[in-house]
Amino acid sequence: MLNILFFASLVLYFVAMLLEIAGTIFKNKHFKKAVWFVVITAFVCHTAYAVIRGVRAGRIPMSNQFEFAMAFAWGITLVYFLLRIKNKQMLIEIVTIPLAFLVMSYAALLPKEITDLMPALRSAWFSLHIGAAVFSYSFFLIAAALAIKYIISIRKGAQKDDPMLIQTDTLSYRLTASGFMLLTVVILSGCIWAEQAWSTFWSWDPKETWALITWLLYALYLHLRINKKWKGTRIAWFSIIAIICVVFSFVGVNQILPSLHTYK
Amino acid sequence: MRFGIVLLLLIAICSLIGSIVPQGNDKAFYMANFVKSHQLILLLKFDNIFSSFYFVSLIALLCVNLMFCSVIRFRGLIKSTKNYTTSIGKNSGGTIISDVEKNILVGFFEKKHFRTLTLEENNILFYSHKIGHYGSFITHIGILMLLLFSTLVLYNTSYIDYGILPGSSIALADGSTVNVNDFVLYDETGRADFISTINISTAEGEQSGAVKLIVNRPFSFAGQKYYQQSYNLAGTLEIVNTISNNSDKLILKEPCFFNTGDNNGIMFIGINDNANDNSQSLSYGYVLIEGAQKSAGSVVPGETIRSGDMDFHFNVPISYPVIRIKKAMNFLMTGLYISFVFLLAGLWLCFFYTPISIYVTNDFYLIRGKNKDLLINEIKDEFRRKRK
Repeated sequence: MLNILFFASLVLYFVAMLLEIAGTIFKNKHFKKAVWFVVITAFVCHTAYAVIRGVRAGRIPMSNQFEFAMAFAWGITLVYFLLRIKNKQMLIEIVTIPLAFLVMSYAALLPKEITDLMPALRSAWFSLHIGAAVFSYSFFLIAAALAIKYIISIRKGAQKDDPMLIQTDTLSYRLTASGFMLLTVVILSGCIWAEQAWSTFWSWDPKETWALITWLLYALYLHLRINKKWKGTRIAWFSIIAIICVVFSFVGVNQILPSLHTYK
Repeated sequence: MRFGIVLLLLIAICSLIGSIVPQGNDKAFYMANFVKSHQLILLLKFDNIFSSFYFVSLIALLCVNLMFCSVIRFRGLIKSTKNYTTSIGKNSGGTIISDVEKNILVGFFEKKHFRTLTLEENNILFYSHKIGHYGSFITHIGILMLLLFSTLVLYNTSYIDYGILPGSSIALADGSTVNVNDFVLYDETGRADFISTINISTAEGEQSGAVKLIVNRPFSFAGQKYYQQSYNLAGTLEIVNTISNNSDKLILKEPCFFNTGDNNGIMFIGINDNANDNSQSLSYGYVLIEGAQKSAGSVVPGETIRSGDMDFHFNVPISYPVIRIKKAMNFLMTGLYISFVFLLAGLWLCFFYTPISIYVTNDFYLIRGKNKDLLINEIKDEFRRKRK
């Protein structure tokens, strides 16, 4: 039952992505309308899977790489809904649905068995630390996808003062700012938790170091955007470079570098 | 600003190197694992990059930069909050509007719950999130405090780890004693958990009573913090003299050599834990020395090895906790927590309370604020909608 829900949501994300691509290529409104309903169904299955898994495990399902990836995809879809409800004209599905599908596909490749929470992870800080990371990464990833969309639109000949393009650029910045705020919560809550669990606030563990590198890069992004007035294509490229850091923190550090944070 | 950006980049690059090159190992490790680049690693202190002089200098420079930046921001802050509600002349580059559009604008901003200030000649100032002016300043102060307090915490905190066998105690340098009554690896439900029951008594005679020390739940007592840091395995060994039948029981925490005469004997190396939490998978590593002959091997608990006239009977190993005792200045920790609050509050004000003001006259309107692009679009939409 549990696996059926997981794979149903994965397939539905895939279908939604195909419908979205077809709708964009053939400019078909029916396809576009269908995307909304398919994504809702996928999200319901996804949420049901997470809830049942959480109940069976007796904890929030975010304790290992699979669960984090699954929660990450869920976060991306939730952010998509919030943005879509706020602004229907934004056409954000073209970037968010493929992202949700991609992250779910990555999750599908990982071991899915439910394991006991390690003693070091049994803390009140667990939900805040990991929950903030899920949404921080979701914001950064969508912001980068919007940056790619912006660059593609410019290359296709769109004018920089096109309201839709300004909106894309501004939304990308706002998502980055929100992601940065949440990443700060992740790092600070992690510091407090580390002090309780390991007695030190900071130990230069690779995961911590990469979180700091990511934070520094996005701090640079925000300085360039706010103070140096970088906008449009230049800042969009920066967003794309910075997301490589996020992806490495998420996948690379766990796979390549030995870390206290590796909970496979 | 440019200097600050360069500093952030350099710190990020150093951190990247520090995450790739394993930190704090001895020279031999780098010679073995980085055959071609070990000289460069050691020369540039990449093996301890986070305590290298240039990394510490970068952090110090960042602090100085933040200080200057904060002062400059503070001056700008006073200026901008002062100018916030002052009138603007006619040549301020605003967007020309008609009377009808002015009315639409007034209705629009009232609907959006902007604060209103009526100035001379019926000019109106709409503003929102005035407190957001302080966001950037508070953020910089927060980072500065964080760097300062974390450095002070780092240099004023001491840690000592003690491996204490259940049923035994250790005496600390300050005259306190820590007694471990009991240590369990599993909780009552059978789930892995590391719980020590300890008793602390200070030199002044103050008693903590029996306290359960659990991972994530340190215990503070008499100015010190006690952590259930980790656990270890100790071997239990019974040595029997086969001639006199005398025996002795020993606990093995470290490698040691048992001489059975003529430099023969047995060297205990350590305990091999082949699978976690299963005593069946444990084995003792040893080297048997008989004359010039040395033979390494392993025995499972319950087995006996003879060397000379001695029987070495290896029993089931026991687990013992490693307890960390930390001494830190509480006010520094409090300062660090306050810096966290400053940083988060500052960022919140920066991004979610961005100040914006709209000066509306009979002829034009002017928007001042960092995020004005969206508002300009919204105003255009509102004009379009009302015209329809």
